[in-house]
Amino acid sequence: MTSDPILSDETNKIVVLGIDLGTTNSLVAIEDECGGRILGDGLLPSVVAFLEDGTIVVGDAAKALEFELPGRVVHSVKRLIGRSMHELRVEARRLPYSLVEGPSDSVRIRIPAARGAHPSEARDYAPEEISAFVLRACVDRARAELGAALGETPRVVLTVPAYFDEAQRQATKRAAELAGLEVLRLVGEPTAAALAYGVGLDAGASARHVLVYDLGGGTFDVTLLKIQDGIFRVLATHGDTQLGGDDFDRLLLERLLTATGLDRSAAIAPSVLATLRRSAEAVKLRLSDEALGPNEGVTIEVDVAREDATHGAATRGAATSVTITRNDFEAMIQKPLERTLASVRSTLQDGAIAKDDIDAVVLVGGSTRIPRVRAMLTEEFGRPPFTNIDPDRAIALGAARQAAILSGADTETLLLDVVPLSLGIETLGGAFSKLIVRNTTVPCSITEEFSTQVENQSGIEVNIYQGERELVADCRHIGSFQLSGIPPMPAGLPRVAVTFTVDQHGLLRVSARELRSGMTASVEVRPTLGLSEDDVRRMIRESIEKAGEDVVAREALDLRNKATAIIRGTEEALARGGAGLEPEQAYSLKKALARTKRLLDGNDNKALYSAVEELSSYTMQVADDLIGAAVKKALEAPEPQ
Amino acid sequence: MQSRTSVALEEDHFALLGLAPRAAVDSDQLERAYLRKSCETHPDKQGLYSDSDAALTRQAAINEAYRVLRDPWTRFAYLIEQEQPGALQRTKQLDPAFLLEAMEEYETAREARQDPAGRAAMEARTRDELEVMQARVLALLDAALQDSIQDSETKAAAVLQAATLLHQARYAQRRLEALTAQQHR
Repeated sequence: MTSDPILSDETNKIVVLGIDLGTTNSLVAIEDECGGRILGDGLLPSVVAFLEDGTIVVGDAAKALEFELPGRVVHSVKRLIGRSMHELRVEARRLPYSLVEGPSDSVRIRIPAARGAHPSEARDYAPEEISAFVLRACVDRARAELGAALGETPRVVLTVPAYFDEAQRQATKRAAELAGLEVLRLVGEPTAAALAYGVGLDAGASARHVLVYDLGGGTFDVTLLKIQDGIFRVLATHGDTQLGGDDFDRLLLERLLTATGLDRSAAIAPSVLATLRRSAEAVKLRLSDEALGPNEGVTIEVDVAREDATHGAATRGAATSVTITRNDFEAMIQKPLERTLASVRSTLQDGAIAKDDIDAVVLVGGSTRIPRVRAMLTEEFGRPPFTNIDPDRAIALGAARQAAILSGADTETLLLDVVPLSLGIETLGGAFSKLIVRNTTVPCSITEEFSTQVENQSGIEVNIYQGERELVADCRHIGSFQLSGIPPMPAGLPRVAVTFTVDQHGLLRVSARELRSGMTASVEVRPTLGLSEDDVRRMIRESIEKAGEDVVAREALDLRNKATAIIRGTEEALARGGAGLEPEQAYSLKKALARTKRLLDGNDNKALYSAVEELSSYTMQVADDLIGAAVKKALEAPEPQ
Repeated sequence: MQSRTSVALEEDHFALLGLAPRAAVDSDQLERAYLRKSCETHPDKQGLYSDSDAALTRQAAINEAYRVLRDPWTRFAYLIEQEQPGALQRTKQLDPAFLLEAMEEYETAREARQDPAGRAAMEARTRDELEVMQARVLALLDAALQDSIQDSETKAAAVLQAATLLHQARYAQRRLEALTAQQHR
């Protein structure tokens, strides 16, 4: 089709994607005349792998490399974004990749140098850069289905945990900018989920109160909404950006470490940790999905010996069998679940809504599949929660709905969100003076007047904090700004009006005006953490330079898939007797097969390419026989996950 | 170093929501007005590449108007300042006899911590007290606003009296907070 995109009504529609950038998995969705739908095939694991040859892969392929490439596969980066190294000290110890301190207490993920290379070849990535890789992979999925309609700078609505603070929101937005996206809106995840349920919740003319309980891989949010006449208004929100399924995995991991005696090792090899982490996740999924009695459980074999080369003979031996019952698991997660219930109650209190006035409780996030979570909420509200949308997909579909609202495709719906945490400034003695209290509807604006303390003082430094405590020491420092160029006057005479605005993204803007001189100044808030505008510009430049390499990365992945398929097909055919091959043919074929297999384990993509070419040339020679047929079949079949 | 000032408002909170200034407001009607205005004004409703900064500023004002008017006490304070700027400041000094009584009541509330029955009784009494005060402020303000008082001096006196009641109500509110906060422990 070559119709003019400007003139054609069909293609003139503004395409806006909805992206759920999750801790564990991400999804991209769109809402068009056919309704909302997820683009691409299944969940995209939010995992990025850095191969030794410099190739970067994302998603399932990256997740599959976790055992092979310990320390080079990065997951759960959402738990790091917008946070300081200081805050992450404890968390860092349990990650199978290493964190180092970046400028001003920020976090960098260190990918070690390839084997044989000089250690200085190690590369540090900001969490924003890792998220940008995941976002690019999301967009690739969308582009595969929508093609050119997406445009060069795709427009997106991006979801963030409702309880993400200013720093975490800014960092997420930066990640999208790095990925070459135009962010039309950051929207709270539980709010997005409510939008996805949409009409189902907005039934009838009367207003309805809906509580969304969102327990994802790494974050927990609870949001109370009032829905009437197509308007979704958030009344209150609460949460914990460091609580989710990952924590349950970690509790299970600790249990596996204790059971295998590995907890007594000073350092655990990253490969062992990666294996055990995967086992822990598998146990959790089985405990959630299988109908088990309280004393029934899941038994897994933990093969420590195979992985543990660094610990010598002491831990070598047979696989250890570990059983975890449903009761064990529920006891383990009791404390964190109680914390979520406390958040639910605070939210109702803040929204001044009684428990009995809640019309529906909606569950979102993969961790709400855990039967104990459902039972707990059923007990609390005296009725089972709403679960008729896949909890994994609700957020992406809601983001797509918000995208349709912004692009003008949906004129019936409006979303009114709130500031999750109070914003304020430091006053004398380190006190925290709240300017915008939590749960204020955005956009909102407040103007504060400042003056000088010293004669002819020309500048005032203002520190901005976010939190609910009385002292700034107990709140998060999110940035500071300098009011400069104040005309020389006696102390206390200048009147500088500073306006703090939280926009519809939940992001802070600051502007200032000197009232006596009428001089206006735009104020740039220097974020305590995260990337500066300069960092972003540099990284975008680098990513453009690297665009070629990214293409190479995708090709490399295709090559590996092709190699795997050819090997499988050839082996299957040989197993069936080789279909009367000439001895020389069989010899060459087996040799080429062995070479391809060996190279697939390595990182030399060039050699692998030639091996695959060679192998396929042999299989082509016998195109009409079994081998050719088997290889053809294997190449056509989708890669098993 | 800095002071918070109530910013001179360009547009009246009631006018922004398309309502006449009244102390007595039907909360459903107020909510409907707020939602209707939001649908017209909200930056999300302005199309992708419109000048959304103007819409942002206006929606922020509408949100603020609803926040202030929704709660009866902040609504009263707003109306008092609209009618007579500085009235709240001028009435800050309360009658010593009232203050003495208020402090004694607060002490009683703190002591009620140990006695659930006494606490409940005091909470009920405080709520009643606040309701009576609210009704009085409402009557005073609406009389002043609706021009049923023609004489400007009587009108000013009514507003000042409402302002005094507002200050007094703060003590009852604080007592109520102390009483209900204990409940959660």
